[in-house]
Amino acid sequence: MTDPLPYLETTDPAYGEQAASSFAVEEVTPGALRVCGPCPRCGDPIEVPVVTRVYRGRRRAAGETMSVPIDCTCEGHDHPGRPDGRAGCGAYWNLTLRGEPR
Amino acid sequence: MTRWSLTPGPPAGPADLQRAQDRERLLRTQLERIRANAKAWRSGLGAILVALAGFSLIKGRSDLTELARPWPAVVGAVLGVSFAAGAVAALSLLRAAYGRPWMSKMKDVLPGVLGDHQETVAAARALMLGVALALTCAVLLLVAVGLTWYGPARDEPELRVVTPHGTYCGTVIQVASGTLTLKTADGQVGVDLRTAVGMQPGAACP
Repeated sequence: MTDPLPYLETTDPAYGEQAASSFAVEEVTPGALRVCGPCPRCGDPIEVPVVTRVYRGRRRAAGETMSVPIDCTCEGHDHPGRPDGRAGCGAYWNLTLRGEPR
Repeated sequence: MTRWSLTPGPPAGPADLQRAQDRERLLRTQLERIRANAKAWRSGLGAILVALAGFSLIKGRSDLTELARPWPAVVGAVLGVSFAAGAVAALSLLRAAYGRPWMSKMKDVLPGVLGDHQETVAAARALMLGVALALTCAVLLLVAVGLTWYGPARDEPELRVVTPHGTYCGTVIQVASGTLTLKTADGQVGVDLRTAVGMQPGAACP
């Protein structure tokens, strides 16, 4: 078993491409998506909830295309150097979600 | 439902990491926030309704029977709708603040943050309904109090007395020494009851 990667806030264009091909997206309720797959950096499975509205007066119209920043939120490993209150290994990337009516 | 697909997004920067962390924090704390806000709304609206109820006792007519018909029935209906709105508002605000008082089917419950989001959406709906109905209750309560205070007064019961000298109609002021004093449209009239050949209570005077 390999040691977990150290925590590092980093990104790479390959993360977005890798996540786009390996992640799955599922609409669990209208306006709430579950995006899940392995973190492109540490390989741990992560699940990212994406919603079109959130309580606090912050609302976004339910568009059919969303650019969503994703960061690794894995809980499987305690990545060394991770600051308190943070999650994951530090990797982040952007994904574009496109929705088409079925 | 919509079919969703994923493509790589634009190059990410530190601001995107901040946005992702903000989004997660908002999502993870939104249920806690709406519960706290619902409790604040519940207390605030409750205080407004208590103040309105106290205000309605300050002055003015308090007996619906003093109102002309059909206003007592109208006030009763308005009060009934007001109380119904208040009851549903109270239940909705409690629902938003504390959640459902019954069990949910496992198949309907989403895990983790999405489950919290599902509950937040339901709580937000209940909160909006509760606020709207509590305000409706307050407005209807004010309408009922206003109608009770300023609605048309019920007419005094009138009496028509027929004598050989003529017919008199008005409200009774007093009866003394066999003489009935009526308040008529022409002023006070004394009628000797010994001469009366007919009486009609509750008549509408011309």
